[in-house]
Amino acid sequence: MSLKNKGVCIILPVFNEGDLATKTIQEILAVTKIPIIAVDDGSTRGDTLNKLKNIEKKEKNLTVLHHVINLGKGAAMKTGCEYAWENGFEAVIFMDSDGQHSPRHVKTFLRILREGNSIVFGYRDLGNKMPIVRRFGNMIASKVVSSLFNINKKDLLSGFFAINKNIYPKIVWNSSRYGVETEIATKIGKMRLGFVEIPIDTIYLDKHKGVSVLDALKILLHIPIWYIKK
Amino acid sequence: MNFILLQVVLLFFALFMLYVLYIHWKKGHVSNLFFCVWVILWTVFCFIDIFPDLLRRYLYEFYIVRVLDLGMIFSFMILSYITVENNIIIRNLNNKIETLVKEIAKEKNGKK
Repeated sequence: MSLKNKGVCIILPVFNEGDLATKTIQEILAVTKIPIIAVDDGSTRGDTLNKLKNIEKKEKNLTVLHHVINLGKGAAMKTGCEYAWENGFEAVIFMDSDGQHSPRHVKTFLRILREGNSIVFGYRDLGNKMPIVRRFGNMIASKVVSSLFNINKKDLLSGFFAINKNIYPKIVWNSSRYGVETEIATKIGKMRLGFVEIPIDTIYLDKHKGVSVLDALKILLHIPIWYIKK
Repeated sequence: MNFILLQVVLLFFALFMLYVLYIHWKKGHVSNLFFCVWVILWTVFCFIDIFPDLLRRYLYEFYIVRVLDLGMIFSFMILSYITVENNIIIRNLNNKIETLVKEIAKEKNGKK
């Protein structure tokens, strides 16, 4: 299905990112006019919600949704998706709000979606730029998932990806916290759905943010459950 | 009848649990059925604690040496059941809260 003339929006789950989130939004707005849905996931620090609301007042392309309590990244992504589908969008691009993803790749995502692809993943160079613990964790998780679910994905944990509305019901995730990307990969593998991968920049601003070793262990514990579940 | 210290401690613990249950029942935090089931369980527990020899005849059937071991096995069975029940209830509550928060987010904060 062609996405020409149909809406694509960016979904940005935000939790306590404060200035970093506003900077990310401004960077996105500087390179593209695609609508942005920022989902504040019950932020408690950095006056995050007010900062987002202030930009929302000035920018017609930004919509801010607010979770009254913190539910996790996966839940924020789902809220963004449901809002997007209810408002007539046909595809969404997920980005992290901490500046890990460069908005310059958005146009590539759009082009590939418009070529008729339903799922587009960004993959990072898992070389020297990625901290060694994460590189190792990503490698282990990738090996386990690829062997169990028959999916060959270059970067299992990348949160920079795009899906269209038709594919959403097939891959909708249950993970409310970290583990969304892995769960989606397992579903794609089980259903043998096609996807496209594009290279994206590897940016690490804060090595303590994102998926921790503990989160990675929880994800690994969930893999057998995803394997058993249909 | 000779009591060992462990029996005394367990008896006081059971009486304390009965008191806690009673308080919650009085405040309306638990239903009558919940209250009755747990009163029966703790009363049976007290009874066995005071007269452990009553169970001694069943020990051979289960290939168990001590009454305490039998008590431990049954306690683990009850605890396992409660853990599973709690897990299911928490997951259901989690899903309900998630749905509620998402609906509030979409209705109240969406400007489009």
